[in-house]
Amino acid sequence: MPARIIAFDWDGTAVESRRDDTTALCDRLERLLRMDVAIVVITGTNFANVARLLEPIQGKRGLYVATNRGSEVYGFDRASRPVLLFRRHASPDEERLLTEIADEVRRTLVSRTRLEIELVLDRLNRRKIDLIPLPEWRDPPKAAMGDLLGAVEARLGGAGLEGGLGEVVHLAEHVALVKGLADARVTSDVKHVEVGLTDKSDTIEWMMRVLAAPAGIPAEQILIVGDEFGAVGGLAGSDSKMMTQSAGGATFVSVGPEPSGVPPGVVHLRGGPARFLELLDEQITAHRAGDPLGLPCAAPADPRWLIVEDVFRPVREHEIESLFALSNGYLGTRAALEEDGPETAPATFIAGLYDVESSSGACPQLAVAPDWRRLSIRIEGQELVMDAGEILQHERVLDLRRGITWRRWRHRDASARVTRFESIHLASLADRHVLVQSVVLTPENYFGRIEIEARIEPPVDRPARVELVAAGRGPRTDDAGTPGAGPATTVVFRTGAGATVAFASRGRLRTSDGRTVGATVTTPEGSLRETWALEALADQQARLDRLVVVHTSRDSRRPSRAATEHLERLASLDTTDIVESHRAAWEERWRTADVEVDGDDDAQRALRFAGYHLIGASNPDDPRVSVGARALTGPAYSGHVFWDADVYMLPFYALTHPASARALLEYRHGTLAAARARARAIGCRGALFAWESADTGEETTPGSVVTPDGRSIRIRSGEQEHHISADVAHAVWRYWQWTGDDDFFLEAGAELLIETARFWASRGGLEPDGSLHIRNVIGPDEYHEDVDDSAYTNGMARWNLERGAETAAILAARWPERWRDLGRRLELEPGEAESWATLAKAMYTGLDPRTGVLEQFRGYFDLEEAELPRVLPRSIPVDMHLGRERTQRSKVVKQADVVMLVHLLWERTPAAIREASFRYYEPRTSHGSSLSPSIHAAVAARLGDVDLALAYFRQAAEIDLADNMGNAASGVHAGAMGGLWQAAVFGVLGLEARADGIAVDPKLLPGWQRLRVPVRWRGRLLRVTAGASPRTIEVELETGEPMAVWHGGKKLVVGPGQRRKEAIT
Amino acid sequence: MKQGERITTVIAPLDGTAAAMSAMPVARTMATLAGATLRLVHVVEQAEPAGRIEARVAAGVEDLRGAVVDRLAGTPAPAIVRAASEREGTLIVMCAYTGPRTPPRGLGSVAEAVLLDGRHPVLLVQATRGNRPWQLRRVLLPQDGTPTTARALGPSITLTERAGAELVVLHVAAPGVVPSAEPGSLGAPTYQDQPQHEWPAWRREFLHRVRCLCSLPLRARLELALAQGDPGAEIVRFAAQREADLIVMSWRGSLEPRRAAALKTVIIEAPCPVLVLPHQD
Repeated sequence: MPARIIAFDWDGTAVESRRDDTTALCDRLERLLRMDVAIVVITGTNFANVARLLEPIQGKRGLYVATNRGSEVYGFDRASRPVLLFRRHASPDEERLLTEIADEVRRTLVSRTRLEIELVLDRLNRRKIDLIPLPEWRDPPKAAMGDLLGAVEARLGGAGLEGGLGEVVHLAEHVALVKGLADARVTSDVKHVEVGLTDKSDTIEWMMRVLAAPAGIPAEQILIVGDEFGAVGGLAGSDSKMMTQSAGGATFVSVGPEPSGVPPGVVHLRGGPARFLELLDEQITAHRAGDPLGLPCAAPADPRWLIVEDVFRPVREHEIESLFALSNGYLGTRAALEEDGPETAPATFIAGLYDVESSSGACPQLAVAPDWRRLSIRIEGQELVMDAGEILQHERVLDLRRGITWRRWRHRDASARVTRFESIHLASLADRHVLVQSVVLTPENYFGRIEIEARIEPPVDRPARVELVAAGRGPRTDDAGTPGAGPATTVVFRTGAGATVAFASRGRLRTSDGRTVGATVTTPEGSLRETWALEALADQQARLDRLVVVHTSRDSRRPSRAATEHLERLASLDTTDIVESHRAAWEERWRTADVEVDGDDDAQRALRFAGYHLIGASNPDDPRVSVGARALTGPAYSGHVFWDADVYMLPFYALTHPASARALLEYRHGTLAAARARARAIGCRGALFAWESADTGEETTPGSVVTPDGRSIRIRSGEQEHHISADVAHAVWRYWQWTGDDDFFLEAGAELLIETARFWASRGGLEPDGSLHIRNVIGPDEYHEDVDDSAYTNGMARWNLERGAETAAILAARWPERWRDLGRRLELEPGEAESWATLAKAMYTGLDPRTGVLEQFRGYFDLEEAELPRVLPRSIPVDMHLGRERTQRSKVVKQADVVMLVHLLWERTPAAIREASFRYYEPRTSHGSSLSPSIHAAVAARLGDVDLALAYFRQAAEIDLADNMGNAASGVHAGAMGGLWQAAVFGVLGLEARADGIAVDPKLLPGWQRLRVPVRWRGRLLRVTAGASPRTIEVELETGEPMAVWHGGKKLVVGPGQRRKEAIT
Repeated sequence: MKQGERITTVIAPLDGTAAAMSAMPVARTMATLAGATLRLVHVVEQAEPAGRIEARVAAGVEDLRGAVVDRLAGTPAPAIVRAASEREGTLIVMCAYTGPRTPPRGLGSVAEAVLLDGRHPVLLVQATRGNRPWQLRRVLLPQDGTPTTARALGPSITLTERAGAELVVLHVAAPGVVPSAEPGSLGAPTYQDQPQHEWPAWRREFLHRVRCLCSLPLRARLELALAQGDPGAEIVRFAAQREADLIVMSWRGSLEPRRAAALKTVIIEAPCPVLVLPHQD
């Protein structure tokens, strides 16, 4: 049976001696690690002695080394660097007792035998009594164990200790008891008798508790191997300690000589390390044997990294397609059923590839490209589809860790033929143009003809979306390639505007009896069809591997050629190689992005789900695209880019993968021309970014919408939601402060900060009251339009003006030449930038000094009181229920508005104002946006209201995972995912990334035992861990220069490779 | 009636009253659309002497042309149900009541008993509509967002689609009512972040689910309307406003107090015939 955990003793089991060549051993271990098998090495020695021999293993994640006889466990981080996971700390009393016991045993032995007996006192948590400190027995190999035992027994017996080794052990146990060391662990490796605090049973207990239980691995799927289970010299074998109660049911195997036999329940193989190597080979085979022609990667196991859908409900298909969508920043594909059907809405979206419907006045939207995963499977001429026949099993799994979707489907057709279908898909994160489909088909109970047809064809025309159309077949069908592989064929599609997209495809079908089946390629009506036909044998598997490469005219002048050549370059690679490089790319991204939560599996899964979609949404290599509201997972919001990208998602990227954040900001910089034109169009200077932006940065917000109750609503956010410019500036400043990327600052950031500040200087007006007012705007609360002095808008504008002035001052001081160039280019007037600081000071804030509450906009306090309790539970949007006019007259707030301002400008907002404003607006907020709950969670947590924070965190976490807003079918909510990450990092951890370091103020939510957050800050990678009980903060700087971390008013300086842990009072 | 089943027989019970004849134009149109046999069922308490059927059912010869006429003995409702059960794919088209006064629930005892049998779709026609010709130009499909309700539409929707009728799906959101917990349900959105995007997306998804569940072909155009308030009253109001020719109501099979409130209102107040489709849970 393939084991999911393999634990084994080191000396004598895995190696003969520490001088062994471990290359072969490491090769087997690495292959098992890649199959997601956890490996636990158990040894009595210290870490360095073993680690040296494990060096050849490249990827050590999943490898654990338990050292010092159960007193320590080391794991490895994503960079394969060792991490101490567990250590038993002896108390001073225990240390003293161990030494006293060893001394007493030695004294007794010497007095009785007059033999030379030595002590080894410098071991962790144990003392060794050397019974044979003779040069010839200094470092006896395991193979000489029999001789050693004879020599020890002869030495002790000859000196009058007739009970020999056994008597020494009993003596040590007796002394320990008399001295009062409860639960002393007395063991022997024959040469020594050891008295300690731990033994191998502690390692097994740790393994069961930390590895097996959380991953749901039963003992039956654990293999434990040793060489000394049986008695030695009358004493229980040291490996028998591994047979703990909690591991009952595991398979215990001994490869040792075991002269006294093995205890019941242990399989005795003999053969030593050579046999152990064979055992590992058998495990590798067993993992494959369950599936002789299995998929090119092992099935995922850890439920904390999985989203599982094991019920098939056709009406939920659109939702599943969104949640399980595969994206890599270059493109995204909805996870539609491969065989298609009336319930599906397959689509591929390519970042930046917009098109416009033919109807006049239409806005650009992300074009729908073909579903490259489409398969038609016919068994004896009958189509294999879900709605014909009986579904025996159907399960889909999204492997968040590796960015792979899985499908397992057993189907009985009308003729009672049972077919097993398993597939994986991925959009490579290592090579963003590459897509992989691998399918294993097993006819379980029949012989017959199976035809598999892979199709890449123009998407079906559906209302309200714009699809690519066929542009004619590509220039060539290339039959070259690896033997047995199908031809690489290219098919080209185009947008209405003439952009082209080329898909090159190559498939290979193999059967488990070693046959390779050739493909027939046809190109009817501008589509590409590859067909494989085989006469299937019952229970014989057929595996189809397809590589699809996509290039567009955005990337190259000849996308068809680029796609074909790219595919050719992959010809020498096996599918497993491509899967492996993809996996490694995800591993690397998670290394700096995985927020770990202990104690709340739902929160853990939700944060990883958010991380998965955020990582897949961005492309650090393409500064021409940003991330739309639904990323690349669905057609909703047309792929338009909103403020979500700048204030909700950017912090995630900036603190986990700065290159992605930079690309988002470069996109804004690339749309400056349109933003300047937009500002000019309303009589302002500087840059006013589009509320909804597509490829050019022009405003793409639809001007109206007809609601299903027949009303036409004017949409004014495109005219009035001007805070977007300050949001962009805020993102720029944060990025620069957090990364120290001066190159970006000089190339783009400073210009963005200055042009946005300039916009506000012209957008606001100094009025007779001496204050700067900004009128006729919409804040984040879009229920209230055309308001004056929106607290959010004014607050962010003031901040933007200050940063504009500061930017000018910094440039003038540090880069005077660049400042002169920029000033000339932007035609800045003398004193213009300095005036922004003055204007900022004059900005009307709306603060009510009596209550400390910021008025959301002029006149808000005079509105009718909100009626939220009466309209909940809701069945329609609040503004629809109350009516638009009444909503505008009421204090009902659509989403975090003033609360958003408090969140973004936390450190600038006095504590009393934070608290008062949150308490005032929170009960009046209807959360009519997916962007609202997460920010309320963050602010509630920072204020210490952890119960309320947890409620909002759950609400935010379930937006897509439970579809609690009813609209996940059209794509996941990328902004809300960024918000969820912020709730955990800025809210619960209380992280403030500053120019001079970071500060943390953890407020763990109920049930959260530990929160661990990786942070990229100014070229460093650090991990911050907050513990709940006892309340601790731990900071580990993995890479980079020393840096400061503040918490509770204290400053910690941590250096590279250092870890600092402190209690929080 | 099951998914995929075709209407092959249209049964029109006639009791000899002029009111019962109000169902005839509707029954004939439905039979023509479905290519089904029109079967007129006249139930008498006990065997009667032979006579001209048209006199007994108060119909003209023209009314009976092309129809199969059955004279059955027994109690009317069970006899009608028995007749309907003889064949697969039967639709019963009958007058809601034929007495001189409107009964409390808008249903005569025979119609109510036939309805409660629950095995057949029943198209109820108001006695007041008389003998005017009936055309199927606009059909109102109230949907509460649950898969069960959408699935119940089954073959009837295909039939109306075949008539070229305009299909208007109506969802009535009732404030304060908790959305259904039935898996796959989709009610009105509880929020609209950016309405310019959310409304069209919701409309598409709602109609997709209806289309998918009742196997309506992609070519059939569906319109979606949203109303809020009491569902029964809103359905009636909307049907009148849009001059619907037919309202298609899914029904869970009970007329007990506090159940089927919308259906009861619609039966009494609808301005057009009402097709009642029992659920196939």
